Amino acid sequence: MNAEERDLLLNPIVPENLVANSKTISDLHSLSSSLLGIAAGILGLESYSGFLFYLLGTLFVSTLIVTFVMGGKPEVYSRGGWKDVIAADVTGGVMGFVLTWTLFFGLVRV
Amino acid sequence: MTRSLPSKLLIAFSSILLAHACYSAHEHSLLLSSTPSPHDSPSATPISGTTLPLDITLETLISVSLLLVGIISSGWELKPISLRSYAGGVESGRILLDGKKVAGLFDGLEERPGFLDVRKQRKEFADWVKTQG
Repeated sequence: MNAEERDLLLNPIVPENLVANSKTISDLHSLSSSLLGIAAGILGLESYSGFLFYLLGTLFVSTLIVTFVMGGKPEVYSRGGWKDVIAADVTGGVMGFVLTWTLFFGLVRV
Repeated sequence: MTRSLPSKLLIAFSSILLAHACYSAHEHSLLLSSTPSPHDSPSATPISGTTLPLDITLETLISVSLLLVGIISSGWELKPISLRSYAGGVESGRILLDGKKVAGLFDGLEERPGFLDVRKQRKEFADWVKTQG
């Protein structure tokens, strides 16, 4: 029995809560990445600066989630702690971001 | 998820601010395209994005930040993943299951049926056999 299994036996977790929490966090991330895309489109960012904006925005959103939703204790609500919060659903978030980014870029600049 | 009044107000205010910033940026790009650019310096033609005024940039950034704060602080609820704190919270009533207070996660195990009245059941069976002939 390795250390991780032992730890799981000593401190059992509730799988339903784990799944529900990560779903809530990825919902928040996809919602906020669409909003970040709107901002990037209005600002007229192009290529790398847009993705840099997305990365900074995601970090900001993760900080907000850890502060407001988790009350500063991420390890209570997700297994990996704050790393899980940042890495939650990055690919899906990028999709939503690029979608609204290009949409608003086209809308604002005719 | 129940939104509190301050976060509702924050979301409404920053949405209006964001819409205004979007409209301003649109107007600004219209202004640039309608202004005839001087023929002698083609390099002076502004590239989109680099010429956005500072106030629109700031308005966009501030409104999106406020909107994110408003959305994230509007009462999203997570449950503790460790069984110890979750079961403790359910038993003490801090965490509600399906919106109501329950005695504990393993409440079903506390409910046992009473003793069976075997004599009564045997008598009922005997009566039933008699009626069947």
